[in-house]
Amino acid sequence: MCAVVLGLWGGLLHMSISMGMVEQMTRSTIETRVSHIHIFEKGFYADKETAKTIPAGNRILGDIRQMPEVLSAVGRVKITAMASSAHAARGVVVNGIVPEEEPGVTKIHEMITQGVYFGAEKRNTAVIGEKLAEELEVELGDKIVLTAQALDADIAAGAFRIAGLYKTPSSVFDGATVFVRRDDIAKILGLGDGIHEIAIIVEDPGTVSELAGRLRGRYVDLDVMAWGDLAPELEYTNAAMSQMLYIYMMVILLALAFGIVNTMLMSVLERVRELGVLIAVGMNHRRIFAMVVIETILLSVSGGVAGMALGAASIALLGRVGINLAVVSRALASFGVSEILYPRMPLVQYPRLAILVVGVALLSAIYPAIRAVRVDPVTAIRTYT
Amino acid sequence: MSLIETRKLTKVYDEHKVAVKALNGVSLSIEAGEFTAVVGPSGSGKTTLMNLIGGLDRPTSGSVIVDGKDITSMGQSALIQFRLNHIGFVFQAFNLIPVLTARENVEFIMLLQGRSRREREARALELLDDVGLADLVKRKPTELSGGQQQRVAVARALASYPSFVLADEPTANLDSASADGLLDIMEELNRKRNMTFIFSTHDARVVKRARRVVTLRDGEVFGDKNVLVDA
Repeated sequence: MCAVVLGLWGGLLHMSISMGMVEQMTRSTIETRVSHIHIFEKGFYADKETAKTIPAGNRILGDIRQMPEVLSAVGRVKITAMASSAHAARGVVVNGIVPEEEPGVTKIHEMITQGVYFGAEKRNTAVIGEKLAEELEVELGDKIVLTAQALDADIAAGAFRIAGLYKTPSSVFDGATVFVRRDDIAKILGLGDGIHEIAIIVEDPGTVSELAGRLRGRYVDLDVMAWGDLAPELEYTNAAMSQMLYIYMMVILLALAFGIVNTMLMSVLERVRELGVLIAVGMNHRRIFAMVVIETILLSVSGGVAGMALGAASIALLGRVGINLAVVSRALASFGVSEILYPRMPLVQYPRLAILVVGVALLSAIYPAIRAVRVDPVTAIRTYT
Repeated sequence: MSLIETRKLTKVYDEHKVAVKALNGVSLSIEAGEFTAVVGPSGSGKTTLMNLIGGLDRPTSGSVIVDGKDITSMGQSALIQFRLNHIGFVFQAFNLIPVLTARENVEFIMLLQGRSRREREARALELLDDVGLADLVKRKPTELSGGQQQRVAVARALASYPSFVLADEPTANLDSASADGLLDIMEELNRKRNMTFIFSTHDARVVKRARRVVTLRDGEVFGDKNVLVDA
């Protein structure tokens, strides 16, 4: 029974850590880089041409904000640019945002580590990642120059003072993304009120695919992309993790099965004389078989319940306090995972696991039960007397 | 018609490719109500004979007729059912179920037969009273002496309303007093209920009380003495 308890406990904990990691990656990506759904002018996502603004973008944005499934939507200017300081230069993606609206779609405002998230102050301020600041060797208050292609295809540049630094779980994102006021960057590029991107957050993440489909139908001349299209590696990771976890649990259950078979076989072999007596006095094979199967199920279910209870309790506790993995924070940051990991296990997994445990118990009981039924009463009573 | 009849019963064991003839053409008749001891030196075939009469083993040739039925031609399942309803067993090592109380051990056989709870409880208490253990019904085997455990085994053997009881060396693990007490009970049950007892034994005390003594030697009947008639 200990083997069942420990096996399930360990397996659940491992699964929950993996699921928590993937969930954090997904949430972090959606809260920073991609929202649930994005809308672009056709072909913009591939080449990021400044001229490819969404026709009637602000009207479309207003229509989308009226949809009941939509929690929040913003319009952004989005360009690739060179960010340079006195010491270095880096290629970046510049997001021209409306700071008052952006918190409805991303959580960058909660990730400020130094300075402010724009605030009510001057023009041409920027919020950059700590990683980028480190690479450009700049600090709060320093200026960086953003150089990009303007609407008229000419090169345009503007100096921005660093108002705030942020840090997300993804170091890659932090080193490549700059936030500025939309009006400021639009003026430099000659965009007027044009927007390149509409980013949408929905009420229920389960409706993303369906809503994206409807928007594609409505805006046939635009590119409507769900988060899985924008971050395919994340969608793949989610799918692969689900498959991997099932395989992992199968392996654990297989190991459990061997443990159960071993235990029950020992139990049968230790009771050969008793079984011989039972058969001798008239207990038929069907009853002997059922007896061993029921014993196996009781053993496995008891261990299963205890293992799942321990697993659930430890997941609940660690899900609240987190697991500190600061020692590998750099590696985790490259995957977009923070150094504090919060294990997660959907409640629906527990009844699924319970069913699997019973199934494994039933299968594991077969061989020991067959051995019990095959006991020869004459030999058993004589040999073990 | 005899209660038990063996007809040219032969059993050959193929022990490591050297055949051992444990029984050689044994023909016996046992009537209802007998108190019979089967005796003989080790290797004479006593246990083999008991196993064949009890349906625990199959003969190489010959047959065993019990209550008019040829048990040697029965299938495995039918044989188990027949044992449950017709034969009571008392073993040398008691072989009670250790996790059950004395009463539960006796009831167990009736549970297998599908008897009602009320009937099981009543009969178990009655039998345990018959064997002098009315005050110890709630004790587990580990809380009983050897003699007491064997009495529970006797009560268990009788619980299923068997046609006869096979007792294989029932006194072997008992001290003199316990053995005498057990034999007193078995004699009384034989007299009171006309229960047939067949013993396989080396114990002179058992032989002394038996009304018929069948002696086996080298797998054959060497002697068959009806004590009352032949005395």
